[in-house]
Amino acid sequence: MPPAEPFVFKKVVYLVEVTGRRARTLDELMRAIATVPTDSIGYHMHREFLAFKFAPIEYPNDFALWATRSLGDEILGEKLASVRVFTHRSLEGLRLELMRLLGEHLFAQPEAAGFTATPERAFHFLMARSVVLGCDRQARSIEEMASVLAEIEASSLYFHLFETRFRGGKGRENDFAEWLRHGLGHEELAAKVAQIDPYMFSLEQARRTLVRTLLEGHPRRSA
Amino acid sequence: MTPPQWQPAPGPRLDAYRAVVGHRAVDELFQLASRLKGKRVQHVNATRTGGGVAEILNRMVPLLHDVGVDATWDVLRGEDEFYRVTKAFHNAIQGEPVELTPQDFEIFVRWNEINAREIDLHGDFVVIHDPQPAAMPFYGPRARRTPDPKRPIVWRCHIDASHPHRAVWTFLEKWVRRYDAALFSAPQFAQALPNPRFLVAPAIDPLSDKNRELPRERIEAVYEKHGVDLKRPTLVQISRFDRWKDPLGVIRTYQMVKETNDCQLVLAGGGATDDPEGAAVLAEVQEAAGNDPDLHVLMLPPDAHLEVNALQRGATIILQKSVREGFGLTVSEGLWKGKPVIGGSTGGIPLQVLDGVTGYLVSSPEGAAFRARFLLNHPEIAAEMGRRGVEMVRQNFLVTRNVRDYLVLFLTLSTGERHFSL
Repeated sequence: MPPAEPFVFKKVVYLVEVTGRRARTLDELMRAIATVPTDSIGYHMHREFLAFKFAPIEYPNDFALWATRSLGDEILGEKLASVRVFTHRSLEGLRLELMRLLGEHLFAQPEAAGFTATPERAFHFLMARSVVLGCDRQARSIEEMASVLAEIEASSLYFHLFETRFRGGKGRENDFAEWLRHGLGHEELAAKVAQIDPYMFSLEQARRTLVRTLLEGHPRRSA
Repeated sequence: MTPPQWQPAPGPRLDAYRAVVGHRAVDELFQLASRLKGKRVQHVNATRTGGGVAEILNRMVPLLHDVGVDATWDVLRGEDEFYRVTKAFHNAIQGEPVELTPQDFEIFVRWNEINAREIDLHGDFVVIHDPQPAAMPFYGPRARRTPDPKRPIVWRCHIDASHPHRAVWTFLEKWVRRYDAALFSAPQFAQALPNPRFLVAPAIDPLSDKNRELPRERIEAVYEKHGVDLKRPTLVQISRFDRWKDPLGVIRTYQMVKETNDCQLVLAGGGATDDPEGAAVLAEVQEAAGNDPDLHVLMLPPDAHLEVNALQRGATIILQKSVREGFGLTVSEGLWKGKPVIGGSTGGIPLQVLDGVTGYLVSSPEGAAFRARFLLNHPEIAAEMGRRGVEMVRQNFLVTRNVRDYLVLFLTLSTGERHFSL
């Protein structure tokens, strides 16, 4: 059997672009979500994880944060925080889920339609242009992958955990799980790595969890 | 006549920044620039000294050279009439009602035409900073008639354009919309335009005289020179003498703090060659300061970078109580010195001051005074905010990140691709 292709670590650099769409009410938010490029929806679902933080992430996406802090709609904030992004096979599917959630919330809580953020706290829809760069690091084995993961830059973790999930328009596992499954044929370990929910961790916490999972699940290690 | 080409002052090379931001961040710049080797990047602005734009360009241009990009920097020339009009434009873009005559608009266009004849916009990428030269690319021998994606021209707006005076913005917009892209410091500043608009936060240079580490003796000497007691609590605001920086509100803040806490105030700033109002504002400030021996109003020359550095490093709290602000680089400067910053909740300041984390955001002299009194009574909280501030700036507001953003901008404009790999 030929040796597996190595896992090539990459990272992403962003330049943030303004879409020109903004919202101060839930109606405006829903209309904008319906029409902005899907890149913008992806950006706001993931941006928090790339930003440098002094404390654990309180809300996993910008929509939940804005609904709670700027609109004062805590129920909606909780609902938006609970959206399971990677159960959707595409950003288009995620867009529909957000619209469904907002529509149902407005039906169940009609008073929410009257909530208005101040002009300074309007939601600005942004998106990113991105350049993918090589990190000059590869892994050919589980040990090597754990070793590189322990010290690779955070933007590489971000790229492989979040950025590639919707690339090509299809939902897929994170890159590490894909390589373990299809490159090395470690189905069991791949399943464990795939189950790591990046939305529950900061990137540094995700790094530690990934390394621990790889080392604990490695057959030679546990033998 | 083409003026002599500007040469950067000797400064640290890009490799020197590895000790501050790490090897990977610097290597990343070389990676990004590998596709831009030899490309000509031409910056144009209104002043070589004074103000944040000149400071940014002074360091960014040499660093672009270090990664192999042929970067140059040209400065407009003008006479008093032009600077009077462009200062009014500046105020109008930031929302101040101004009275401008048709002749004033003609003066703006005339000086843009003159400069367009004198400054050859030869760059593969041209970056025009702020409103003063905004019309230039559309006049002169290389006047841009139609979009040219192979030689993109970018308008970089450094000021708070969230509530512009409509007449002035409408006048400027007819040129701005013809650029290939526009850059703003915050999303709320980005006016409705048909061209792509990007967000690029300004940044400070950690190795410049204004921001590098200083020996204690140097700080002591500067404080002694200005008669400020380094052993006593000191509030420091560094900024141009400009009404948007609310110097009178800062004095009021200090006076309220002084009622309960021993403290001194240093209000220090310089002028810029394109700001004719500075002297009048300074006179108002000096009058408000009166004869208080603990209130120090310092008019510093534009090259007093080490003095500014020392004043910030000796401060207990940094203030930047602006009522309108483009970005407010003095906030990042203060945070980089490990000081808590009390800043006006306006413009780009909330991007730097995380309320309650790296300082406080305020909307009035009363708010600023309350937060200053709190920090003076809780030095351990002030110290922790200062530590966070250093990391905040390291991650987000250093010149290396600014260079990175421009490199990505040039790459995305030249390839026409939204997402690509190198």
